[in-house]
Amino acid sequence: MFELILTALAIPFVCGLAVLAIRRPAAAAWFNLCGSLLTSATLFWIVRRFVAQGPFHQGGFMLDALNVLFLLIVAVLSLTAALYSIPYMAHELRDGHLTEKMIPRYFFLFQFFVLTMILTLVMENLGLLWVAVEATTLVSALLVAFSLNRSSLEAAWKYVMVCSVGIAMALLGTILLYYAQVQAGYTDVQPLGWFALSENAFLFNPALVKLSAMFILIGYGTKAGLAPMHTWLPDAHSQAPTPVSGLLSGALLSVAMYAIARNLAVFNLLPTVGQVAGQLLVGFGLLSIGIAVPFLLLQHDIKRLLAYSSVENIGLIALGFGLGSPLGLYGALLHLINNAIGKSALFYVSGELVQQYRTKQILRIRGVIRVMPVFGGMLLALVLAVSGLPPFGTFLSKLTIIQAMFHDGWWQGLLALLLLAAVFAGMIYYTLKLLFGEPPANLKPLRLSPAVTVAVGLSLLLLVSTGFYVPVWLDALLRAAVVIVGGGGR
Amino acid sequence: MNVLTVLLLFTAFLITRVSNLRLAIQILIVQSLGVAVACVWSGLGSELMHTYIAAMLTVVIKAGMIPYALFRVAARLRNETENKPILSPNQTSLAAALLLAVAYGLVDQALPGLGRDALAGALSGFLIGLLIMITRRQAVLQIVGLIMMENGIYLLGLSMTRGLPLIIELGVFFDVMVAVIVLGILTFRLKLSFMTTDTTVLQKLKG
Amino acid sequence: MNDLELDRLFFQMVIIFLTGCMSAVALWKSPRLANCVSHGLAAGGCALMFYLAGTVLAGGEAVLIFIGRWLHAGEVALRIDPLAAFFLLLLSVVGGAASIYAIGYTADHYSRRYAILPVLFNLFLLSTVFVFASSHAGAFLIAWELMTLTSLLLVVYEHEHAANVRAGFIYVVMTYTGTAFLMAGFFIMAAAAGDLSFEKFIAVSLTQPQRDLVFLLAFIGFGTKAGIIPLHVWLPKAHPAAPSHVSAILSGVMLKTAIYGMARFYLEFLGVGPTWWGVMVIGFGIVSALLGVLYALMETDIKRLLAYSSLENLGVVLLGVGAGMVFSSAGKPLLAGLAWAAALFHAFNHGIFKALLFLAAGAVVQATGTRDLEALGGLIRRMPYTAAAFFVGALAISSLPPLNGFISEWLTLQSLFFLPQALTGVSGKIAGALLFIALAMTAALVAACFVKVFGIAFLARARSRKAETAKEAPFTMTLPMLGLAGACLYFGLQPHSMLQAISRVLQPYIGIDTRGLFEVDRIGLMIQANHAEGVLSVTLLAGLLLIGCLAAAGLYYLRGKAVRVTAPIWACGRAATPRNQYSATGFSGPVRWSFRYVLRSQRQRIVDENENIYVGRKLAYHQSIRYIVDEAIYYPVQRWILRQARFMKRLQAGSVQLYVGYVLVVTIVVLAWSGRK
Repeated sequence: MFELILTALAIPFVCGLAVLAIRRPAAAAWFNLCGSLLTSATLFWIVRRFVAQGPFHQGGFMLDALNVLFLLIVAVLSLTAALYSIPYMAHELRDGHLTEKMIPRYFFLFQFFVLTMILTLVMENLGLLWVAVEATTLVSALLVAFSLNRSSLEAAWKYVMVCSVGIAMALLGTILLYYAQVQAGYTDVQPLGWFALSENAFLFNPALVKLSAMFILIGYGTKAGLAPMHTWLPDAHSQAPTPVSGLLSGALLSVAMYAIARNLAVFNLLPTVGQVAGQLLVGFGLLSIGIAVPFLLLQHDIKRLLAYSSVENIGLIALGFGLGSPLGLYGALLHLINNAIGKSALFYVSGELVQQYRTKQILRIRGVIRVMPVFGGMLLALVLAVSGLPPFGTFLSKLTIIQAMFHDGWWQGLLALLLLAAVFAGMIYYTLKLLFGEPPANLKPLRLSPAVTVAVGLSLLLLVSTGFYVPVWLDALLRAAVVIVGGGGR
Repeated sequence: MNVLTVLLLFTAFLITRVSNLRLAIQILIVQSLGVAVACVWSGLGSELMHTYIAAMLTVVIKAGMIPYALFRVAARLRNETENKPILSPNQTSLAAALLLAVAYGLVDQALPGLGRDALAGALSGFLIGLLIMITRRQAVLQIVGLIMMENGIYLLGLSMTRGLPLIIELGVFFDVMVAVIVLGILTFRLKLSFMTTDTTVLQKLKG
Repeated sequence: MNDLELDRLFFQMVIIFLTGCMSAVALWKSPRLANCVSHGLAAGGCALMFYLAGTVLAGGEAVLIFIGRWLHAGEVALRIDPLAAFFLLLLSVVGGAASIYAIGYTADHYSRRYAILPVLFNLFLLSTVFVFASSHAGAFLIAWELMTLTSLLLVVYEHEHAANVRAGFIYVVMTYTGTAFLMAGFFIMAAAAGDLSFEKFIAVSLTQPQRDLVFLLAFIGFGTKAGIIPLHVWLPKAHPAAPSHVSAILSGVMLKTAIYGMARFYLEFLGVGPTWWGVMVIGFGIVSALLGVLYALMETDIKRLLAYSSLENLGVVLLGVGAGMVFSSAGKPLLAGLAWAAALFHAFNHGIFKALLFLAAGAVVQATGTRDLEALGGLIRRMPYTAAAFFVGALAISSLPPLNGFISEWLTLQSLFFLPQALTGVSGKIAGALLFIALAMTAALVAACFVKVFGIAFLARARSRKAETAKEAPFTMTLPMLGLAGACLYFGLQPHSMLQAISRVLQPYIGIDTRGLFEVDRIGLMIQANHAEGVLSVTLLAGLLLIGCLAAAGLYYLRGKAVRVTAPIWACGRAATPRNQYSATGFSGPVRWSFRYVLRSQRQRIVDENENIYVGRKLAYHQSIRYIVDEAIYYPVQRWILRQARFMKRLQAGSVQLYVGYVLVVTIVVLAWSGRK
């Protein structure tokens, strides 16, 4: 198992360095895909082994139900993003947005981005978890700024600045947690190690852990795009190259939520702290859903539209985590998976539209259904999926979270439902604008590259299947993860 | 220890009044050196080897490599100074004083029973760094503010737990260094693209 | 027949619908084949459904189709109880007719994307089946949303018209919001019951405020689907936008899913409630009925007119529902049974005759290419079968004997007549009496409305070239129309068969007693509800009508032979043109004037006075009414939301310093919040 984890980390590392040596863009793209295939295969293998063998801990790495779930997300998304990168980069080159020299650098960063995400997930130590999260910010900032034009630089600057401040808060919180550990007299055990914490965190000083919880939730909350610290998110997600936007929205936000979930598991060991942390997350969650509404109702940029939809979905997930009941946690974890798959695929679709119509302005993209009928159908299906409608898995997970909300009173649940309805109104309004109407006269019916169709089709297939059926092993994983986050220790 | 706290606060207040980029970086060096000395100081009492390593790393990275990188960036930004900060130096100093009071209040309420002045000093260093990021337009000054925040956090950890475990500490240093490099690249690119490193021009993306 | 065979039958039906989808996909290259096979299979599925529903309804016992564990949601059951079977019966009749009709109707739509139409149609029928059959809140909501989605796609199928897309948008947003309320209602019960299955909801113990809340949430949720005023705005836009065979199901069946839901909630889950529940339902019902028919009367778009008339009919159904609830809470189970039976029967009848009218209107629209009444005319000679079918539908909707609309409307009137008994206080008694009058007036206005439609569209002379050259629809279209017309007649002449089935449906519910409510006598239907005993003999009425007609014909022939004289029409010395005929707008003029305070009618005339200073020469005439609900509620709310959104967007002003400041402020606020004692 340990070797497998090392392999999963080594493959992107080696591929990332090796791809720098490849000059031809197409070759680099295919090489990148091969690397991602290998990484994903290793990750899937890890998941399989985990399902068969159970938790694992060695040499600073660990696997339990919680992080295995997120490894699954990274495995699927890095694969689809690598796949979509092939046609995307070729198109950007053809349009002259990029030069050939820049391409290997992109794939280098891509692989290292995946590397840092995997690293975040397998770290056993909460301090090193912080280090890895900060590393994801730095690598992805370079990806956001990749095209080096004015707007992407602006987005990257805001991204690094706001996230660094947020992450600094998380560091402060982590130090406070460490102090609580030291104060409780556990200096000889593994400092900030998850296993040590999960065994004796209930003996810590609650006031101190509460303070630490506030800082940690704000810190990682910034990274996860919870309002009102979400301000960098629409900029960064809309300016990054689209495959990366998909990864940022689907995988990176999930990884940040993982950091929250892992810390929350510690806080939940102290009921008073768990309660306050939960209330804070519910507050952030409701605020995130609410704040997305005006920006989704009045939006002109297709990628920003999707970015705000991410804010909304992450808010919903934070709600589920905040509720703390098994039902809410189950829904939140399931929603993380569903949303990651749906949102990344939706970004790929939007990227294809932006490239074909040569604009991000929603009002200039018209008549998709006439120019690319199949693609238009996929667009509609994915929008419905991220808005949480059947027959997609998102509906079930959303429903579960909302159902959990009604256990402690009705008004919060009703408020969330109405806000979600407003969000849906914005999404579907602009989607209908995109799909129908008269396409520009100079636009010919286009053939899509098979890579896009495969990447998006695969995601849709996964979403529809989770809409009706959650495999037994995944259900078991989710239940085990729920116990972990809920404060059940290992 | 109190001398060092005063030094830290003094440098923090000094930066609130500076408009020259190079001067700000020099003050940052002084502050980082102070942090390193504090690190050694806390290590003196015990036989903890890792505090000395941490102190050495602080000197090398925070007083050496980071300022070096910042100087290199600043060297390319000839005519850039903080002309019209969002809060004037006087107002910023006043606000910093206010934050100092807030820090004392917070420490008294949340973390009683530890070295009060050291904690409050570290916390106010953190907050003043944040204040600099909010009230300054120049990209380099924002980076300086960020590192001041890091210094504050580091001191806080030092005065509470004698620093984090070494492996984490190493990671944090590595991250800070990479962050400054990334920010340096971005600053340089800002100068190329926008002809200025005034970050208030970065307001195209909104809504 | 035992359960095992019925559940096999159910799954066979599901497979037939799914095969309908698949075959259309497989045959997408040859639309003609896809059309026949796919719609044929849909019709076959409906036939099975008819048998299934009929068996359950006749047996009077719930049939468990399927039960199984499903994720964390617990036991999920598909169950067809008599209530569901009753609505499935309606779906099978309307759906079957629409499927056959579609074979002829959609032959005009062949194109590259044609295959989508039968696929969606099959899925739409299937999801509606599951709405009725689901006995679990989660499964119900999935089916409910799928029904909305497939119908949305059918509404925007003809997306070349921007208005259709707009209609689809309003439709889906309204229903999504409505579903949000439904979810809230379900989850409040689920929190108390600990499970999402309907069986647990039956005995769920809620506090009175919670019950009130669930009642309101369900009323808003289902009310949105039913299109009660003021939640109706999507309905007159979406129903006409869909292809006509779909409109028939939208109006005929999908609206009834709301009535089904209300029956589930109010009869089964919540039981007997306080009086104000019923009063509130009645209040919304009468407003919907009156305003709906007024708007219908003003309309000149034939399909939108039918959609508005659906508002009116749903209003009448709600009157029955509300009256039933009032009687239940007043402890009058027999009267409650009468009112609920009237409501359900009217829902059923409306499904049939409204589907018939939509199908006939679709045939007209296809033959003439226009939905504008002012461009039609004289179609009775060119489309005799369609005209006959439409005529029967119009009679039924105007609640004239011997058709089914008459029976259910009469029963509703009867139950309203006893309403003052159940209401206390003078104001209640007066209101009850006024209600009776209002319903009677509604019926009269409906009759006026359909005199207008039939007269303008089918009689007199064609008002446009297209109407002049219209051809009768193919037999695949006329046959289902005539079939539905036959059903209208059958349930008009033999209402007791259905009414007795309905009384079996209602019998198990608390606060309702239907034993011996409807008995068949030699001369007709006996109604017995405590003090209210009555005989409703449609056979007698039909006989009297027949005698009257025969007498009239006899007199006509006795007086002498008719002489046919051919001469030009006198039109003040000018040649008569079709423009001299009575127009639909003109026909509704008196009503528009009488109700001008509600309708806020406006007219605009552009007159060129240069040519003849005495008469003037009208160049353009524009008549419009203003929709008070839209103007009083929807436009202001929309404006307010957008204004707030514009204001809120300033939060994201683009400045890094501001964003970092947010983090600082949040930190301080959170610390202060968490530090509070």
